[in-house]
Amino acid sequence: MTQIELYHYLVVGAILFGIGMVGFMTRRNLIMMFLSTEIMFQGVALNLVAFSRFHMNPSGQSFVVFLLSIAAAEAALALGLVVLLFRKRETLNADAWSEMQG
Amino acid sequence: MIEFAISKPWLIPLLPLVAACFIGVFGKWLKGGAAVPAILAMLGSVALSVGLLCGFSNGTIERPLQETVYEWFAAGSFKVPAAYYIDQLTALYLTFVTVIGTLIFVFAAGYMKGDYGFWRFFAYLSLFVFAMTVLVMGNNFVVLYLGWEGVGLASYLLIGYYYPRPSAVAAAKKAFITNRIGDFGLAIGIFLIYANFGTVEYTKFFGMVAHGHLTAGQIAALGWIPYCLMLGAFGKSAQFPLHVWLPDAMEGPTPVSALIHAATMVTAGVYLIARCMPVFHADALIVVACVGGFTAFMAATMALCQYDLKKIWAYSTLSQLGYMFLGLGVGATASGVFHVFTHAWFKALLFLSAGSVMHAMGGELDIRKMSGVRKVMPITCFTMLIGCLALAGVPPFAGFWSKDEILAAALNSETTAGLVFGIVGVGVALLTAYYTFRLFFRVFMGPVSLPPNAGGHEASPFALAEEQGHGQGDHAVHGHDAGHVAGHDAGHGHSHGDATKMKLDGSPLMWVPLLILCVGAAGAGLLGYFGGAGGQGGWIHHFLAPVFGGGGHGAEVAVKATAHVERISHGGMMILSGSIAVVGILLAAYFHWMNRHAADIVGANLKPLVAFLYNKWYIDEIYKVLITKSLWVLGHILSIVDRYVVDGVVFMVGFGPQLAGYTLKPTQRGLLGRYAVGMIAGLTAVVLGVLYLMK
Amino acid sequence: MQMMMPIVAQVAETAVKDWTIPILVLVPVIGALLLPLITPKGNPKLSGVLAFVISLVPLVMVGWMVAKFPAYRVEGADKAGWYHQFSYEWLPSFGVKFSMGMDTISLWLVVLAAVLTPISILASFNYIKQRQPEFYAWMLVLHAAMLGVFCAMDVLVFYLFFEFTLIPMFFIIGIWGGAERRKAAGKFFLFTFSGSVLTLVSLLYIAFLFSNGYSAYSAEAGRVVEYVKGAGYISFAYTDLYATGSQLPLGLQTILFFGMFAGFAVKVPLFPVHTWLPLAHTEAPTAGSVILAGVLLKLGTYAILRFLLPILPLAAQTYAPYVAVVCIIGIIYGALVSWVQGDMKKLIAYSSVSHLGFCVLGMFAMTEEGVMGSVLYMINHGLSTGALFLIVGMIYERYHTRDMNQLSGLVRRTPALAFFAIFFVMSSVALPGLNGFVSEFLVLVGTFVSGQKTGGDMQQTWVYGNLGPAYAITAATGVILGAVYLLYWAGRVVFGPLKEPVHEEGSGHDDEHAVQEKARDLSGREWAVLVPIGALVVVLGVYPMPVMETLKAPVRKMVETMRIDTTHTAMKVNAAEAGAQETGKHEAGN
Repeated sequence: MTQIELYHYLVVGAILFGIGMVGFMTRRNLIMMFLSTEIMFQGVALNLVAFSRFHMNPSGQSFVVFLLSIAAAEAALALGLVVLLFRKRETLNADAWSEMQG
Repeated sequence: MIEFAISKPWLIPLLPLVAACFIGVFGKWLKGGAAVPAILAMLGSVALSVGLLCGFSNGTIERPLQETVYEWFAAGSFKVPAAYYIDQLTALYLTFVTVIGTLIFVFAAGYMKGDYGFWRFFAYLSLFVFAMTVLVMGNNFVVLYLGWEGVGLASYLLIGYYYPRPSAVAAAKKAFITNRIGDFGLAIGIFLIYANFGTVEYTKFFGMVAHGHLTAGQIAALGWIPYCLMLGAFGKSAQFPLHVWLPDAMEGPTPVSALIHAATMVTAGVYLIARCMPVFHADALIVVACVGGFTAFMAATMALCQYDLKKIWAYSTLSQLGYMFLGLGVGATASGVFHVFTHAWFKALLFLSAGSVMHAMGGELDIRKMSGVRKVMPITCFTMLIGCLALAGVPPFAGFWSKDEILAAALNSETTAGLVFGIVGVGVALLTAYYTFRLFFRVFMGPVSLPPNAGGHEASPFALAEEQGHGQGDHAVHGHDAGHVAGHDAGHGHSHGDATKMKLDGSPLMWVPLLILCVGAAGAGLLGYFGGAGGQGGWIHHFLAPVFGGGGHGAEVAVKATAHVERISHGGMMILSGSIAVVGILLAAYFHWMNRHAADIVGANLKPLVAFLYNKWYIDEIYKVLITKSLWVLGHILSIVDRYVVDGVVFMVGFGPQLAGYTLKPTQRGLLGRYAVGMIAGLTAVVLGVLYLMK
Repeated sequence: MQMMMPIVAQVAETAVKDWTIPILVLVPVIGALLLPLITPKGNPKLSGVLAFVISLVPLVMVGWMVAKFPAYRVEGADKAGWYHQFSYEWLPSFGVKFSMGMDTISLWLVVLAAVLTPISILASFNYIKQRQPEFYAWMLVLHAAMLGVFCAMDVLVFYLFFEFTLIPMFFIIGIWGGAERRKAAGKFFLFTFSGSVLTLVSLLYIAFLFSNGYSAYSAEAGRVVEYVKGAGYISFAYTDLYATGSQLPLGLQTILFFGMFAGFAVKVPLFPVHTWLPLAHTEAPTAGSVILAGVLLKLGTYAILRFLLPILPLAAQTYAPYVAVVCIIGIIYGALVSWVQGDMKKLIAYSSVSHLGFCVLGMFAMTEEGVMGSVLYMINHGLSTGALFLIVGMIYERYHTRDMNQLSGLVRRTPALAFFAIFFVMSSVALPGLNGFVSEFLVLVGTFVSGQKTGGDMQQTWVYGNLGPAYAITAATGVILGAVYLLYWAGRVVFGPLKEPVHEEGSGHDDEHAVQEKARDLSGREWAVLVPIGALVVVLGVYPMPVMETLKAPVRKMVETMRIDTTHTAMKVNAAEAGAQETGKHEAGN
């Protein structure tokens, strides 16, 4: 059993980020898109933790703690907004909202 | 008195200024009494001016008075003191300005009685005298410029006095702007003087010029300075090509015309050139002589065919001013100034007499509409006759002596231009005598025939349209409203049938000044012949000799250093000009008194010429098309350019970002997915770019 | 290194804390904040009176300062120096100090602002009918900004106040203006703002160079020359920027010159970037027009005098002829366009374009006469044009029109108003004896002698300025045209047969009395508005010496920094043509 190296973590993080990215681009459902962004988030957070451990520097992990708590707050807010948007148009399709077009 | 005048000469302009301010502030309550402070102030100035004149004359004052009252403004080495410089020339000017001014004020008190703007009128008149006295008293060019523009302002206000008349407003504007063109020249002259000599004061500047040792730049500047000053003088003294404002200035009330034409304003140009004679080189003097001679001729021809009483005198003023410039141009400075002096007397007399006629005839000025006026206005007829004799140059009246000197100097001049215009001047003398007596015989002689509203009132220009109501006629505002010219005290009740029985000379306020002016018009010329301290010249040459450097010898010797040839003797000249005047008068008597029909026949045969002269050589029309209209059109074009081109270009600059915005607009569709793709594409590009750079 | 010495000294003496100027600026600000609160709810009209009283406080203070100004009161004081200095470390890490102070040039412009603001507030009592407390509050804010901008001693402080004048003016035009007020306010804001951004960039770059130094290859020297030695810290103080900018080579100065000039030219405004002005003037309420013409336009000219000329003297000298040509085009163009306007306010607005051409021309003459004339021109133009706008406003209040075709012969109806109209017209056409003459004449004299050696000392190798007689003569035609358009206006509106606009039947306020009522002559309040300006016009025309005496030292100092040394090789190379000409003249002159 080989040692789990830094790059393993980084690969997992990159895969998570890639999944999130593809999901965000392909999905039209607001909730799914939101979840995709969360997955990208976690990919990045994983990188931070890995590097923190690798450099034996705790600040990376503390960043992640902040990041998670902000993500949680953001999730609460975003889901609330999604509910609000759903009430307006009775759909979760992101393309239903294009008022901001130039 | 002389001592007081020496110690406080600045009171001369100050008194009229104070009067002007006082009347301006309290005039509303002074009403008819507004003339009193103005006349009192004038009397004060007269006393001081005469004091100065006597001081110079009897030798109490030995050298010119010069003192700085305070420093007006200064920047760098450009220093302008509010200072006076009084020599014989100034004292002479001050005297006739204030004396004749006072007489005009008194006349105006009668003439303008009951007018709507009575007090306003006297405030302006006082302002006028203030500006004129400052003009001649300043010790430097900038103070002169103050007076110069000041008379411009006062004339603007006075010519436009009957402001409800559009023609009066236009004339006022024309006067101011034409004068401004002259002022422009004067200003450039001042700049040149300062830039090259570092001073604007007469004594310092002339001192440097006289002293010699000039740099090349200074010599070059001296070549130009006279021409600049000349432009200023031509504007103010209404010489061709800037003469157009003066005839129009007749729109003002008659005392104003008298003041502008006789004592003030137009004589300023002569003053300027006389004052600056030390810097006028021969070439510049030739130009002065040519312009003067040409104007004399042109204006005399114009005067031949006018029918408006005041306009005839206006053109004669132009013509006489032309004589003065001719005199200056051929170097007879003292003679030029002498002509200013005599002209002031008889022209004031003529204008005021014309005003008196106009006043009596209910505002009528057309000489075709009146005849035999001597019957109803004996005093005015007498004063007008004296004035006409003086203008025509009949010995021994005032005009004869001074004109004679100028013509003699011109004919004896070394320059061709002087000789040519001397001969023209002799011809002009004939024309002068003719048109002068044409007017006199037309108006005062012959059968009695008066315009219908003689003895009535001129319709007030100040009557408001709504108050005029229905009757648009001349009598519409008969005495029921303060807003009209109440005219004179002869009452309203004359029936026009017995016109000959009317006595229309007006109040003593009007005819007493006329009689006093008669004395001057008759006698002022004698000062040029008698009273000299020996030699040929009269008192005036003797008096002015310290200024112009002549030795008090009289006309021929007063000619500036330029040598002259003896073509005609003094006595011969006198005989020549005297006989020419008589010939002119006889011609006029034949055509306009004995046989008026003959004049009509001649006129009918020369119709195009008459029209040409009547329309003042069409110079006004030419200016209108060439200058006024074209500038006006240019203004409109520029206005359109401003709105569409200049603003348009600026708008186009603003349009650039807007265009960019429109171009990029399609990329912002509001679709979340698209934004995500864009974001990631951008991110990828950045990552690839960084990788590429790091490689 | 020697150059740096005074700057170090400057840093050392930052402890000065004279509170006069901060109080001067703060009084109107506090007044503006309090005004909506202290105005009684039921009587919004009272807010005008209160604002007037508040605006009198700076006037009194300024009056006191004029009487006690140290430069000419204290024996041995530096007459060209800055007084009432106040300095406070605002953003130390960026080198921004909140430093304020006054020299006599600032002082007289502050006087101008302090005089015109109460007057324009007083003139608004009848004009502003809605949202009064708000209006007067904005006026007071504007007042504070105007006072501040002339007292700044640090570029960022100047810029702060400079831009801050835009905001109140934007609202004054945009809310209380005429029919097209929104467009006018927007145009006003965008023009001046975009111009001043370019200015800011240039100034920031100079501050950066002050800190970092500037070296470049010099073709004349054939090696890299260190033009400016970096100070190692950023400073925006005027003196530091003067010391930096004036050392730069011509190429760099040129770029900076045009950057700065763009902003100031818009503000002045010079042809061809003047198009915002007529619109803004036409739409602004009377008070707005008065302040705009009277003070705000002077910000541009003041800034040119304060920054452009001393910071970049080499470029200023080199490009002075081009700027002068622009000014002269503006003088003639403005006059001709003004002449054909039908709207009285537009006519006067274009006259400002013409007049300010003179003002800028005088500065670029770079002679004592010219610069002195320009400084006086700022004050005089503020007074006479401000007064003309007040008069047009008064006519508008009576007849609700500014159309010259509908009005005529007002002297018959309102003689006192007509008197003042003619009086200020005469002041504006530079009639000697009134204020306009002194400044206009000096500007022209200054332009005429520019580029020549003047004064008694003919041996000097200095030449002041780069213009000459041709410029002065062309510009002087503007004097004639000035009489044309202003007398045209006076002849049409003030004189002529009486003609008043007819009220349309059935319009909003058509009660019989309104139709029958004749326009009244000046009210007591209007007399109070016009008489002080009239008095100043006369005093500055008849006896301007006291003011000029105080301005002499700073003007001389300013001109000294801008003179051209004819023996200095760098200048000869840089302005080869001009230099050669001057030298030629010099030799011919001797």
